[in-house]
Amino acid sequence: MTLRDDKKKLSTWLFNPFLFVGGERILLIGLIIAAVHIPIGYFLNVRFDGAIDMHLVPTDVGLLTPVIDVLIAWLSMAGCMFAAAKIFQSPMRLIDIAGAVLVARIPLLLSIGPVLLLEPDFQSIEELLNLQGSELYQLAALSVISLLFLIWFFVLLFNAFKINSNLKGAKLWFGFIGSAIIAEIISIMIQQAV
Amino acid sequence: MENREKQLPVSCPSCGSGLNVKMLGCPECHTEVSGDYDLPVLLRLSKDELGFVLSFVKNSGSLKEMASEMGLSYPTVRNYLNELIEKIDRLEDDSER
Repeated sequence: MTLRDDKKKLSTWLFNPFLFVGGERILLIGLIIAAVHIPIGYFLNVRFDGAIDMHLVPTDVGLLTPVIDVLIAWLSMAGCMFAAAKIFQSPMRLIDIAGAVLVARIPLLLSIGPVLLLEPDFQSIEELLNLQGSELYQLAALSVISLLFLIWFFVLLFNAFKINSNLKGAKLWFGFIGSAIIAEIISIMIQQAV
Repeated sequence: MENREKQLPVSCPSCGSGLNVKMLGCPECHTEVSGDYDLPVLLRLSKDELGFVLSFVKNSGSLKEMASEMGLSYPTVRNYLNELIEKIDRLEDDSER
């Protein structure tokens, strides 16, 4: 299997670690990543209020909010991907996808670094629209970097679904896009309900 | 010259079709048997695929143990097995034609 060569490549570990890590190990790593959300949310005032959302908020977040945020995001995404796989009669295991969707959130957590470093100081939309000079470049750089982290997050999420479902072609794309959209809708609805 | 490991050729280098066995020989008495025999399906697999089948049998079919032995995740091993099953089905269909 050429996978032995892939194991030595950094790109495989960055974009598709699910080839090599699964079962209890990926769930344990995933739970550690889930736990990391809590101090980040609490100390840096970050909300993860949606299956694919992350943003800074101006008010104190508290300790319970990031716990609820990550639980809703995790369960909605893992649940929807598991359901999509079962609809297409894929032999996906819940333990694998539950761990994998949490591991896929690493880029979301890392993207907070550039946001904290580069976010220009503005209080209102008018101020944001009137940004000039270095602050404007700062905002443009932040947008590009955030986009790269978002792409990384989606590549990981896609590979998590692909490896664990073993679906191909239209079923793979339909299952992935459908489950990501439905997970986002469900997570936002639960967020509004609690 | 480097001592390379010989591999059983299973497909025709000219047209890519599966090869048949035309001659077998006894390494002890050098008796030769000629005929036209189909290669068994398992022998038509690549070296890596055959290695996977052997590992599957040796691990009593436990994909979990195979994954741990091969340093791969369970889903990766299961996906490889599914691909192998599809390939064996194709080879069986080809030999029935």
